[in-house]
Amino acid sequence: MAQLTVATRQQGGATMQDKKREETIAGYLFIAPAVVVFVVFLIIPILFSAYISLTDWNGITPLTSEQPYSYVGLDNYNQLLFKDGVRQQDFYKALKNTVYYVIGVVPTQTILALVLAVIVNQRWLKAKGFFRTAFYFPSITSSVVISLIFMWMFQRGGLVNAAVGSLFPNYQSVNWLDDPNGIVHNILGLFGVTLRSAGDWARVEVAGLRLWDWVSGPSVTMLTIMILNTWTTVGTMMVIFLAALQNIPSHIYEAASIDGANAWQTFRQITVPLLRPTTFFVVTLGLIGTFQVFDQIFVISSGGPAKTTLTIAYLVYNNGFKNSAMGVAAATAILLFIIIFVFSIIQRRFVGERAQT
Amino acid sequence: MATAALPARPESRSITRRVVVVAGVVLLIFFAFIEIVPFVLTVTNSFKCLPAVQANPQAFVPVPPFGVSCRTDSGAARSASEVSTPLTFNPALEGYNEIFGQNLGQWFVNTVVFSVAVTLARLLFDSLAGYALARIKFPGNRVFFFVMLGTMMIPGVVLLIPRFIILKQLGMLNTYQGFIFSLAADAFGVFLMKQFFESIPEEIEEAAQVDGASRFVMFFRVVLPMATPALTALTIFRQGVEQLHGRADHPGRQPESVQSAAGTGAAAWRVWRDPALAHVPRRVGDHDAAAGTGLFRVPALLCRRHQLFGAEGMIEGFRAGWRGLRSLEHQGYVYIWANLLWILLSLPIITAPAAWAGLIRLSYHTQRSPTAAQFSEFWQGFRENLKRGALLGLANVAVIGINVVNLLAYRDANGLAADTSRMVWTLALLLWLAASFMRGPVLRDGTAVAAGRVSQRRRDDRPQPAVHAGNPAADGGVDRAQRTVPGGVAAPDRRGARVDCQRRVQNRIRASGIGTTREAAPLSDEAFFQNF
Repeated sequence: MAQLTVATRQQGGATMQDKKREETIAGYLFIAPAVVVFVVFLIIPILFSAYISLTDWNGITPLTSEQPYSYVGLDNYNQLLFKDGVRQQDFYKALKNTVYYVIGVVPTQTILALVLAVIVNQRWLKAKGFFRTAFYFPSITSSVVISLIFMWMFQRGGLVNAAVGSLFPNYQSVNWLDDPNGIVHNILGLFGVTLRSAGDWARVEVAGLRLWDWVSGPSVTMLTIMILNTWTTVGTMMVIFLAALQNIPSHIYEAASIDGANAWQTFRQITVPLLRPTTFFVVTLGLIGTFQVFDQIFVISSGGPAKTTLTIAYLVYNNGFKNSAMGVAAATAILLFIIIFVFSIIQRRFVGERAQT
Repeated sequence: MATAALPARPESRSITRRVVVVAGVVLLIFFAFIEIVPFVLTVTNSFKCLPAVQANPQAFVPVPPFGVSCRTDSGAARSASEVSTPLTFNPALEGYNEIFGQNLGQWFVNTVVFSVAVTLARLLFDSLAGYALARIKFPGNRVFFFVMLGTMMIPGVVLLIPRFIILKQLGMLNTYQGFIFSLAADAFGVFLMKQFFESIPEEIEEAAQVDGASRFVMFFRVVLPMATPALTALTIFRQGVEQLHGRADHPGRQPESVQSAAGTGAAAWRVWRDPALAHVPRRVGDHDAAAGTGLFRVPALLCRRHQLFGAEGMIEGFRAGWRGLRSLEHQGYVYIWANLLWILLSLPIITAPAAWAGLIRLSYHTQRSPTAAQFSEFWQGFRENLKRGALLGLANVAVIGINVVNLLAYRDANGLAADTSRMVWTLALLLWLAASFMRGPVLRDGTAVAAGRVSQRRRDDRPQPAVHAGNPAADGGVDRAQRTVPGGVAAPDRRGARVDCQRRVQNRIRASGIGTTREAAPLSDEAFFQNF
């Protein structure tokens, strides 16, 4: 009997080792196709861009020609970050706009999607299929088409102004698509605070922009684009949340209701904690998507008015393809990558770590 | 339903509840309304004349006269007020006429080819990678995950030129395969599939693993079928493709700045252009977008309006189809590609049955007794199937030979005879290709045959304890499942489904002979292969 045990154990040991090796091989085989595609079409291009960001290539001269670019070191980064000039100003403007955009859109779309998903997930709700489809509609349409629809709706004589105007007779129609005034500036203006009355702090220049400009908030046009993006992505996010909600075992809810928890407590103490991994997923996607906002900007405002909708991704395009400064564009892209990366890590600290406890 | 089952509540509580319910429904309807309105407007706007779109985009009630002309007899455009009011409009077909006058058929073909191919490739590659990241522990697992996540953070705009250069170097510029290959896997999809696979209870795989299924068998037979919801989601998402659709159109808006700049950058933009977008009503009449379609040298089978929907009827349709096929053939590309593809495909097909049988045997064998000489096992399985493979291979070689001769002889030939012959051979080739793929299940028979012989030979000398080692756990698993099920009448859905799924796996295992009639060989070789 003892002999048998020993024999089995030895056998088991060998199997374990073998199993491990087999697992490793299987793992590599499983990811191999994806790795090939990623390396060829993402990693290599990214490394290429990283290199280009150290040169002054204009993006037009063919690389096969003689001396298409010269190596400039970190000069592009210096121009964007530290050296006074238009490039630095544009970069920080774009950074400011993008950050306002992200701060506005990500929490809104996440919370809204969660609330809608919870409602759709209720048992008493009829016609779930209809609502699911309705919310998912915008996500399956090209972002350019959606942007065009929004332009029609938000133009001066468009649907939004008409609807609000019919509700409030003395409403002055807002020029949604061409209004560079910042939201925070407008609100401050209601209380009589303007640049003139704000005091000296407002005129202090930080990184090429006055402090007054830093606190402007998103411009009205930017707000329109933020609404557009929220509107588009809420459906996707809601579907993801809904899938996760349906995975929560219903006996947990039953136990909670027997214990006498009310709806809010159930939501706060059960639904939200159990959805942490999904929330992490949704917020990560939201961050990455919003930091790179480009299509909507391109179609609706092309960065204007007064550069208040200039985002970093759009700046990349502007520098690379309009201003023929591919090196600067690549450097901007790398900086954006670093920014997103840092935000993702911070976000992971907040959502991800608590998910493990 | 849930409320009915609960004990009676105090009055105030049910009132709050009702308020919450009403508020929830109102909120939902409000947002659903907001989400739907723009689509209604898109549809209505597509029937308006251009000035009416700009002046009254919100008009949504179509009123007679229907089918108005957007131009007066003298050719001047009608003003917006003539064909619309703030709420009503006279439907016109100008936009549709414009689109059907262009290369709609080809755009459609392009879109279908891209979407189907990219989606299929992503379904496979993403789920494979997602599964590996979620379940298989191998060195580099986490590194790969984070690198992949990192690639999502680089704005796609800046990758256009490098991608363009790579495609050019690979000789895939202006081709379907280049476009498809560059999108064949996406980080989002891998991320999604990983999250999904992590949510599947591990016990199911453990049950299959105890039975000795390898990772591949497990993935394709057990895990992937369960992943249908996630795969569906992935099919719908296709974010990357959508993104490209959006980005692709940009040069159309900036013709002077981008297209006049002759160089790599402009060319890169052009590659990513998506002709499918030309239907956006605002841009009707932008023939520049149509020029983009020329990038993909796939001749349209049905490209003109009257051929698609025309009154000329079926015969004209067939004729158009024939002409399309001829023009397709005239390019020569299809013929050459089909031949090359066929040659490439037939090489593995010749040896596939034999090699597959060998692999199956090897994987089966290593799980039973890992110390044995592995190559000899593979070789034996290979040999046992070689005859079948050789027959198929011989047939293949014959067809390849004929095609190679064709390829060489008729490449530059002109005239009716050459054309006809090429047509016939192209069709024959495609038919043969299809037939060979239909013949694919040869593998199943092959493995069964091979397995039968394996078991005949091995049943006697197999060490019994080794076989028993894996068994108690499997039996325990059956017991566990059985224990749970009787009490699980009132069990919640998901757990019920899970148990049910487990039980199905267990039943499979049991059907394959565990602990039933045969005692010495709980899982026979034949049964194993028949069930997986």
